[in-house]
Amino acid sequence: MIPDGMHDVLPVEAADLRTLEDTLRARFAAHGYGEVRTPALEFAATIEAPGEDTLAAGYRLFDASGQVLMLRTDMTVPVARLAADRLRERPLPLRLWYLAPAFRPAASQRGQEGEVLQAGIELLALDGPAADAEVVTLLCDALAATGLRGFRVALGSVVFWRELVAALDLPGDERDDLFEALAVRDYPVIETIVAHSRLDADDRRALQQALALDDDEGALDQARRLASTAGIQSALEHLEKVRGLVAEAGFGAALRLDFALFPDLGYYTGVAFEAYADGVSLPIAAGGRYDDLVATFGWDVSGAGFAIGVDRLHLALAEQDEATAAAKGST
Amino acid sequence: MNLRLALPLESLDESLTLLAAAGLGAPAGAPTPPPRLVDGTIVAAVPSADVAVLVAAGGADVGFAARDLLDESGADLCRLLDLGIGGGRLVFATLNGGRRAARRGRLRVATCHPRAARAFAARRGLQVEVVALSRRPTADVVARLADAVLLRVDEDESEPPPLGEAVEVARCSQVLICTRASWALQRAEIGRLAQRLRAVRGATA
Repeated sequence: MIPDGMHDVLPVEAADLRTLEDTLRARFAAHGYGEVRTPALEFAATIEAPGEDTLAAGYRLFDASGQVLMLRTDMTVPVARLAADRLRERPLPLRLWYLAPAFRPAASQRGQEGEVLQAGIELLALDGPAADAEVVTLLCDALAATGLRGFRVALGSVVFWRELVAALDLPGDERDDLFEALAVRDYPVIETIVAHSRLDADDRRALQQALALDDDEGALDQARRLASTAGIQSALEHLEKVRGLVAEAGFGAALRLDFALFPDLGYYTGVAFEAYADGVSLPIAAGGRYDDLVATFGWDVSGAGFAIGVDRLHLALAEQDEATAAAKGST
Repeated sequence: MNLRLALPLESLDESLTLLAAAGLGAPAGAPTPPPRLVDGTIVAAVPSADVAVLVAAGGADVGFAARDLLDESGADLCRLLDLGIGGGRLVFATLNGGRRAARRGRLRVATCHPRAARAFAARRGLQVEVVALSRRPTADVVARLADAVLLRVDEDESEPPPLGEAVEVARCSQVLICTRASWALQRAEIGRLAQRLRAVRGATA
């Protein structure tokens, strides 16, 4: 018997996973990233430092001296801690990769496990569209190298919504409710918040139009017209540049602007993205820019990165193989 | 590729009527439930409590799910549109003056919405012991084991349970749902469906 959410890996799956891991390692290394490893156990205060409820909901235990420890719930926070503790004197920027399990209490949805193997990168102390494009491009390159076809990367910016809501001067409680509903994509709740807010008709319309924006001709121009603050204009310009650079790198077809993307992790400060593949209902990878996270550990450098859920990627590849076999069988 | 749509068996007629009003009815002579709609959408009719689970597990691309059941499922799904059908209320009522609770210091709440009951209690600062049932608590069950109930009362219910003074916890109707992956990979098809349903809902609101 093993705890809920945990699973054994038998030879066939283990061989698949080993191949996947080797492929991802090779791609990260080929792009000039160096491997780091962090302990599975951190002080609970480290995991809790960014103030993220999602990350703080983990497995806790005590050491012999009564200190509260936690199994890491993701890899970005431990790597940020490691960088602040150990790598300040290294030449910048820092390009780091990892492949290690993280632990979260299990949820029931397919692809959600209590122990998740994460493969990812963190790019520290490099800003701007080129840095963000480097991260998104590496994600696309790594996914393509595993043989995954038809994946999509939804690209958005948390700045767009934060600035839009700030420009509309929405009261604090309504703003928090709106961000929460955005993170879980509960559009009826957003419509209710907007309908009952004290906003005037024009501002309500702006919010509704922002929600309806899709990645089609003229969407960026439409988004620009919603609010003319410098922050929004700059966020959209940034997004457009990142998209252009990723397209230049050959992955334009995989990219899709998603103006309503708003991750539930509050440490993102700029672009955010999620990768999807057929057969897996949740993102197989996610990431973004987090310029204030490393400062939580006392070193004020910017950062961006992503994590691939290796088990979800494996599931997507298995579904792809099934679909291919079924298609061959039906011809 | 045709969308796969999960509909709740218990309110199949209402769902199909809404779809027909949106120009997505069943082909003439099709059985109920129809295997496909006129545009080729594949229909799966399942118990309402299973719609969210089916969609979350990838067995359907989109679904009509009752919001209370969706919340209870805990599934991470996009909620795209309030469909304005299958309306009801979640209500909380203390029974018999909460006599047992007065001695034990906490209410025992019978419900088939345990997640909603715990959230409601937390919001109100109530200490409760939740008795999770598989179906709506009957008067007999409640008399035997509970001081309070949290249950759903449908808008069109001809004989709602006698609850005395009840507090409304939430209003709930059916919601169009899809997975995050479907929303990213099949945005155009799902967006079109949502738009057509929104137009009907707008016309009847």
